[in-house]
Amino acid sequence: MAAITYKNASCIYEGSDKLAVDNLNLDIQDGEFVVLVGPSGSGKSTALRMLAGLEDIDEGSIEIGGKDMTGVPSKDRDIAMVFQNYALYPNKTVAENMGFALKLRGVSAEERRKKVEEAAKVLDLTEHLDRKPAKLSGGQRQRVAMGRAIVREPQVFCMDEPLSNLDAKLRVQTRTQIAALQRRLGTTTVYVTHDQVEAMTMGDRVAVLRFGKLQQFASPNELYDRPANAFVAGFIGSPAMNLFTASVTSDGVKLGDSTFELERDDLAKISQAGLSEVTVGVRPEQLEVAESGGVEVVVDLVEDLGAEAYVYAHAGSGSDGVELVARCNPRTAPRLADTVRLRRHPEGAVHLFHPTSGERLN
Amino acid sequence: MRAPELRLRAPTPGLLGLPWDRPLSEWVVPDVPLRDIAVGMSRHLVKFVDADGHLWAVKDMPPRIAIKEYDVLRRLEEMGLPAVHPAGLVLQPEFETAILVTRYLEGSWQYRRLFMRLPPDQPRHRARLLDAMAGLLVELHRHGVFWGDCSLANTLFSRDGQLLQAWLVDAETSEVHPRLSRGQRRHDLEILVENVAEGLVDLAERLGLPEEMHQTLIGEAEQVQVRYETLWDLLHAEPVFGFADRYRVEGTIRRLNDLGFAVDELSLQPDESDPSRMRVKVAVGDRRYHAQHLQELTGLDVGEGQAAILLGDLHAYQAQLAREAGHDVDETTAARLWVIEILTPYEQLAHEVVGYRGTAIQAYCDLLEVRWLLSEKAGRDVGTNKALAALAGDVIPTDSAAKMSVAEVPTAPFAVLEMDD
Repeated sequence: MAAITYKNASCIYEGSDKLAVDNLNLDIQDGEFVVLVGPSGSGKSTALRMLAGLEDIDEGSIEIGGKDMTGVPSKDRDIAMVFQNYALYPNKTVAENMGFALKLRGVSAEERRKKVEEAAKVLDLTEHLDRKPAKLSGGQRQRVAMGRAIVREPQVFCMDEPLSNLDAKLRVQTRTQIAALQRRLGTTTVYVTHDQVEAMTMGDRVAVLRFGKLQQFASPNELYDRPANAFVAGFIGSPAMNLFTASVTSDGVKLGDSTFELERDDLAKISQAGLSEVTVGVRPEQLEVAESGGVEVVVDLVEDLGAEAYVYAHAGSGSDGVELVARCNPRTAPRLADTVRLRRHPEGAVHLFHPTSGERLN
Repeated sequence: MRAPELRLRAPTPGLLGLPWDRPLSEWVVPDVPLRDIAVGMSRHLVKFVDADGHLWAVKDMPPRIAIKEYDVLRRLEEMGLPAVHPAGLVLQPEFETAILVTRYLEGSWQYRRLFMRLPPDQPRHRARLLDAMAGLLVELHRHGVFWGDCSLANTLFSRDGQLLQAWLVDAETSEVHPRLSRGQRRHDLEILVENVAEGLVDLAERLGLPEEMHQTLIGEAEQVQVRYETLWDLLHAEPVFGFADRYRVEGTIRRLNDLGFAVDELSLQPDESDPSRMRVKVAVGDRRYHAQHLQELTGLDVGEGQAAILLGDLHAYQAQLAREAGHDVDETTAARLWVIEILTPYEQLAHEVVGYRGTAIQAYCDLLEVRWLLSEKAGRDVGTNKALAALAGDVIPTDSAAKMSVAEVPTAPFAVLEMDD
């Protein structure tokens, strides 16, 4: 086990002057489960591959256990990689699949068996050790692939979208197992996904990347409650946070014919920044359908999920129109084309961002 | 029911007429012209269809992976790399699956077929196999292709003179990049070593070889790294010479040509650390140096390994003609005569004595090798007829390349194997 440090680490795309990873700084604690998340092209996989030794570190450095890994071949980094495309030997049993890398390293048959049995126990594969991969479910096969990594007892696990080949139900189930397994093993893990729900449910901390740059590195709660910028605010959370840029008035921002009221402290911060427009963020659960106050909207869709419902509506029209989503009780939800009012919960948080840079203001 | 989506690059009646609206698992004879081919176990269901005079491999896989593999195989084809040719992609939304169609490589075989038919423990044949694997990986890497799952099971082999040509047949995990980093290449090589070791150990177990052999085989698999790196370094070397020594460039080019690589461009630039010296950079082209030259001389389109042998034979014949005529004979004239007087009759004879297995040109290459081996043993030229007799009676050295022709007889059809016991 080991801590990992990215120090101003950059990677340049071949044949391009653009940085795939731009000046990345991360301090990952020993035993921590860190998820790198971001949309396609964000540099998350490149950042992981730099750690694994598959991409060059063009500038800066990456340390594992305090040792600079620049120029160190991946096989000498004491890491194990688990990819989405795991290739098991179809003709070998689960035990043989898990133990072959050890045989290659000259580990004795007895020692191999011991390590394989230990790993199988942790992975809940003991009763499948004599079976061949074709007889296993997708999730079990994924666990065998992890078993091949575990038996080597690496310092670090690098996982690049290991669940993306599984169907949705299995993905949910397997992600819980991987997270629990990592906690039991205590091995420092860096995990890449494009799925923010996967990131939020698995990671001790999550690094959000965009265009090769780190946007925020924080715990899932911190990312959700205090996103550092408008991109993180919109990327984390499902349904996404309501984000709209509007003109500032004396007591809030203008939304259609109504005013979306803001706290006095927030108005002061907008004023301090000298802004006449501001980007406002409100999570759907922080809005409620009300008789009075708030903003007048027309309902476009109601998504009834049983325990809760989401109201998709719009305020204003044309270029001034803003789409909003609010969570409500499905039993009292408005109907399609109703005109209702949406207002902020008394305790609800409002996030303010700079309209051009997207940086958090409050 | 949702109809399947078809993308076929060879929309022949036989292929179009296959039951694409049914899951591959339900394709059975006699409704579908299936053939059993010994390819070993696969992670996916694979069947072989005989249609329109060709053999097609059809593989059932998740749509996302099938689309990716189809695209990668098309890229490999465009780059002229040795890989199976993608023939089509059929999405079956009704069954949430897809079928990838590739054209079966005629005359190719799996490594198991060779080693199951040879006496056990054949290090020289294994060395040829591993050279082919290393050569294939270098070719892929030179073109920015990360294989991701290079193994003996994912490779087909065909004979090429005294060499083997390796073909990539599974690109499920492959990625095409503008260029590969050293780390990516190393990682691919590590995967290759582990998988090749597994393939060799698996074979040894099947052949009932003693377990002590396993470490030897693992050691041989590890040597693939050396084979790979030697070739890679040679192709990417940038030697530095004094300007007066620039004739040494010729040696660099010859070494590349000997390995079959043509030189696309040579550049000599003053070395940055010592401008009085020249740094040589060679842009290496395809591995068809001899094949190209032979084709220009004779019109024959053969493998690079075969061409190297045939050119050697042609040049020996050219020297013989010159001796007889008492003056030089140009290469073009010698080539024309060689095809008529030597190659055409003897390749037919050689092909006949080996029972028409493999190609006639390969049979002739085998004849030349056997004649050379027997002559070396006898300390004199034993002549073509004696070599033909040895080839006919299969009394040839066990580790000769000619012995690998045992792999060229197709396996008789057999019942489909169960995936598990």
